[in-house]
Amino acid sequence: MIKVKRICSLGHEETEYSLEEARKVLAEGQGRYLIVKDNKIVNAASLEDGDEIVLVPKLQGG
Amino acid sequence: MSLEFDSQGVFIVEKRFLSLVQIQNRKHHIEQRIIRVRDEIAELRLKIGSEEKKLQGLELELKQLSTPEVNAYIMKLQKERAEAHAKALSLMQEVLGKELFSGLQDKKWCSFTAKDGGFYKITSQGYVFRRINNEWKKLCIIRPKELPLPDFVLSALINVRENPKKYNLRYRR
Repeated sequence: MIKVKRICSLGHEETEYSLEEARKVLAEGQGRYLIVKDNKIVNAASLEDGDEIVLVPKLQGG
Repeated sequence: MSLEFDSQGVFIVEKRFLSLVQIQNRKHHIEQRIIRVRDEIAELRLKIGSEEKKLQGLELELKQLSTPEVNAYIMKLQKERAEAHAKALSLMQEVLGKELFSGLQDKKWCSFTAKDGGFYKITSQGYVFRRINNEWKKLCIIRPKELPLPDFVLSALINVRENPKKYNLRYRR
């Protein structure tokens, strides 16, 4: 299982996915989020069972 | 000219003769002034009427915004916001680690090196600066609506560290 915390308005959501589901969800949000594991950016393909990741929104510059 | 005195002091009282023309001029002048003052009073009355209507509208709106239902809704939002803030703080500590997190909490800022090798600083208020020629220059980053401040600080730090060139300097107009 992969524990995913997604930063969004009014706090963050926490969801657990199977590895396969997590990759699918991350592929959908690819352009909108950075995947952070242990304070480092990773890509969805490198995820392993038991990982805990945080999805950080990609911020726009002015 | 005569002298008068009372409890206020001593006064010279002067009499001035008014010719026929002067009497007529003075009367005309006073009539004109009376017309002007009446106009001013009428304008003020109109303005008072319109301002009273505005006041009534504002009082009604304030009353509507002070009902128990609205107060309960405000309390609910404040509670949700406080909970989101606490959750965001705990996530920030979890992601950044104790050292960086305490730096942000105690010093109110922390510095870091981004992917471009540049030196950056972020404050606990979410302002990010790039070090250029020994000066801190503020970057322009848009804060998404309703994103709790600690979540924004964490997101800004990670985004700038990863894609520093995406963010331009903020120029004052």
